[in-house]
Amino acid sequence: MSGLIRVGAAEVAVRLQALSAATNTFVAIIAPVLLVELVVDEIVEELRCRFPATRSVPDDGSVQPLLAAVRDNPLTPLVARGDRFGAGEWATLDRRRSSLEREGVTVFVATEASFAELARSAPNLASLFGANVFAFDPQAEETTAAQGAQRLEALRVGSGRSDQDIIDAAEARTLPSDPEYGEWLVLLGRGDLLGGE
Amino acid sequence: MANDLLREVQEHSLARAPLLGLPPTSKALLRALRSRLTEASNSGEILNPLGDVLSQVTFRPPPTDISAAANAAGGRKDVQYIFGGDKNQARVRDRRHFERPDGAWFDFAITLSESKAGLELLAFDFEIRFSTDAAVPFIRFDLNLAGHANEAREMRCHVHPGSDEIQVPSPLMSPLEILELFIVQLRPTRVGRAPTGFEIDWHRAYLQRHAPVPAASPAVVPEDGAAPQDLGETDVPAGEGEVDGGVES
Repeated sequence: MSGLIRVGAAEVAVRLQALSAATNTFVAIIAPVLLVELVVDEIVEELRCRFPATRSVPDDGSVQPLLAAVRDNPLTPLVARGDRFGAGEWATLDRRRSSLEREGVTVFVATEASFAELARSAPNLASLFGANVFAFDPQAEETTAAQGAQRLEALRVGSGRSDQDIIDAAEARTLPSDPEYGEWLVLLGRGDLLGGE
Repeated sequence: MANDLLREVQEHSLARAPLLGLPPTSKALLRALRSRLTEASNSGEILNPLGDVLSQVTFRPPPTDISAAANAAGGRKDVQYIFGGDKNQARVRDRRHFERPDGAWFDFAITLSESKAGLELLAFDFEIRFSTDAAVPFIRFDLNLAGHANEAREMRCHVHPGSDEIQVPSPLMSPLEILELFIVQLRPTRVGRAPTGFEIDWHRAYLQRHAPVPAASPAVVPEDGAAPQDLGETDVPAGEGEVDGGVES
């Protein structure tokens, strides 16, 4: 799975918006085992900014909630967990793939292992994903190291002060509280120095 | 007395904090800001492509290594920030920013605290720079960190109306409200209004002080051989073109 495009929840939403004009669109997001539930929540929240009716499919480990959600929501984007599906569940969905056809986008969040099982046990369903398989990047929304470095340098140049100077002043409670000093401390990982409740 | 009055203004402003309708988490605020900027990109209200919205509006979560934070008694453990565009104190256009079709361009940074009680704005700065149609180079909305000297001057929440050195008390607005101002509202109400003689002379005096024209600069000589034009004069009624010496205090 290392060759997959890595995306954050916002990029998933943008890509789905582009895909939403098509019918019968299936997207798989591959996430680490421990992050699957979080990724489902993130994608649902992000999608709701563009498609307010977006729903997450209840998860009981079986395919029934998914089939019911598809039946009841022909147009709504759905986000389903696929990480607990084994060979039997995927094979069932493969046989009933015509029941999954709909106008709304269907997103499966799966682990690498569960998606591999999907490819083995549900080759027809797997083919519907096409190129719409992505790896989730939990850091995609975050300030990159380069962006952080640029901002720190801008702050140093703008004020003529050093990082240590700022930390010392914050510890001594003599730091001016112009907004950029808060940002500066957060960039240094010392947001704790902004004072307590 | 003056401070008492300003304190009332400040208290009135900051009392709005619970009414701002902030999203419950920093991620949700990030999404809301991106969502509005995406709309603006789609509608042409800003010139940036969608990719800019994703890459330029990001957030810095609290450090995962909380040992440093844990050592600071009473310190906050939950501080993070969201920024849109690059830090740009020099106001140079080659830094990443958002730009409107009328030439106005802006960026922002928000420092906030997320807890079970919800989001708290700790500080922000939103700055928009204008084309000369606006007759003011920039406007910046600041919320300073609590405890700043400005707070003693009752100015924690203020606007810089085209000068880093001048502050005007402002209402506390949510980041989404200020973003809306930047995308839609803050623009000249009348384009092409002739400036007064006061404004022309003020700007001339300001430039003369901070960016004087070199003495060797040649005068403009008309092709017909007439006397060179004196660019130092304006057609201003007597008494209306005097520079107010107190403006730059």
